[in-house]
Amino acid sequence: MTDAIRPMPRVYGEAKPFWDSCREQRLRLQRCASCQTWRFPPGLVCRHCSSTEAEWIEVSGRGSIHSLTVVHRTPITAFIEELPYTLALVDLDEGVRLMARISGASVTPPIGTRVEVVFEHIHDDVTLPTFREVISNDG
Amino acid sequence: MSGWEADVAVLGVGETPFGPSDGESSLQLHARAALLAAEDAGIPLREIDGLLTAGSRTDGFLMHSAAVAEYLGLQPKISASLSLGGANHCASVLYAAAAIRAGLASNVLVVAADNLVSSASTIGAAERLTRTGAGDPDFEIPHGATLPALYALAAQRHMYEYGTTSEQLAAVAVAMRRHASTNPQAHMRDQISVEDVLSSRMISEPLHLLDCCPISNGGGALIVGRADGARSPVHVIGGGSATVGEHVSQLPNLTSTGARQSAVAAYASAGIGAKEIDAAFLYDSFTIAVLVQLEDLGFCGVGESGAFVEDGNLASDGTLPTNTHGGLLSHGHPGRAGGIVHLVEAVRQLRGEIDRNPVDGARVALVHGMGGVFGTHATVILAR
Repeated sequence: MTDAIRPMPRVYGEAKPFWDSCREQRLRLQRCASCQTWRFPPGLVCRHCSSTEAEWIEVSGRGSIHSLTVVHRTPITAFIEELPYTLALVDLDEGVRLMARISGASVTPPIGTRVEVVFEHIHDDVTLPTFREVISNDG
Repeated sequence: MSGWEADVAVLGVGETPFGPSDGESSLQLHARAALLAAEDAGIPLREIDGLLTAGSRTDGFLMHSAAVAEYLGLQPKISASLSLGGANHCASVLYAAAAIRAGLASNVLVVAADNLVSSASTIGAAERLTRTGAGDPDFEIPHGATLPALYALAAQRHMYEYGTTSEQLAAVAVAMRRHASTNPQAHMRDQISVEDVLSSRMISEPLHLLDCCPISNGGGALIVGRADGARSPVHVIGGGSATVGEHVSQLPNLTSTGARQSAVAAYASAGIGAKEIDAAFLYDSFTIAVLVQLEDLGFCGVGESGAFVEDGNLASDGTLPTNTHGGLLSHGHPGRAGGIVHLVEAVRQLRGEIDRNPVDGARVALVHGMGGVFGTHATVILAR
């Protein structure tokens, strides 16, 4: 029988500070200590200058939608009751791209829409970043 | 021909029928395709001294190419199983050519097959394939990424940047099905219309069910060796490859991919350009993939692929006959073997053996394989 266990990120090693921050409702990313390039997903090596030095820095959690799709079918049992949901690629203002759900009142904003992070707690160890449309006009 | 020395060629090809049929293991399908290719080349199987495979999504052998060698009774001098997804088979042809020129082997069998329908029909298999597929297990899958969703993100971006329409995406599926409709080896053969595609159920917007390839059982094989003295060689006159990453969320660009670098290298090595290509064989796991490749491989301008397809250019009598066997979208997609029959069909077209969707007078064909979601790329240029 198919188990309905939700797929979870592995909270360990180099990615642990990222997930620990999410659990505290803060978005933190690595920034290269040598060339200042932001790094995501977390990793040992800067993709720009190959430096292994990095610091974890809290970021604004604001960005814009690069692309999005409304998912209507999934083979993953644990997600079936959440269908349809919106999956997006979000370009953070710091210059990294990450995948996340779109939450909030409007789940199909157009590409280019300004969004901000909202955290969704799904498990003891795991809080996922999601993004909602920025309503205020200071973003 | 001013390209690579035309010393290495595809000497023989083989393919099993594709479809939902059950009952044969992945290894059996490998063997059927390999035997057909050996017979076609006129080379006894025991003279194969190189073996390149693509692994299996149903068999979990630690060393897949060694398992295939053992099953076939071969003891090849070189063997490897690549993990480049849909770029495996084109890359294997290039690596085979390099190995032959380096003296490491003389006759290299490139073979791939999978019985994914049999596997996927078991409870939990589709879920397992998704959890361990092209999505990042930490940063994509936990958010609900599915394989169609990953391609859908590229499709939405292409629509946003260039005004591409769902009708234009559907035109790719319709063209592939028309080719498959006359191919008894193909999985999906009932002709479809643009309206059929648009009214099929939505999977991940904007991709409908018929924008996505089916899961099939089947396999194919090629034997690569020295052209000298071969019965009916099809020369490998150029090639290129590129790896840009594994995951969609880390791609530099969703609408222009490593296919561009791969093609630049392939055209340069062959000493020709896109205009000299008589038939194309593109990795059509989803309709959007074809549009992106048409642009990256130089067959149309950036942003023009939707109109190019809608104008009927992919037909076997069009300006760029494409996937004349029906492609992954309709001929079928058997797991790790997806795309190998593109090479088989290209060879047969160049030999003038295809009478269902013939490309009259075809001399040069381009085959492009792509793995994951635009992450790995390999291009092979073949000539009669």
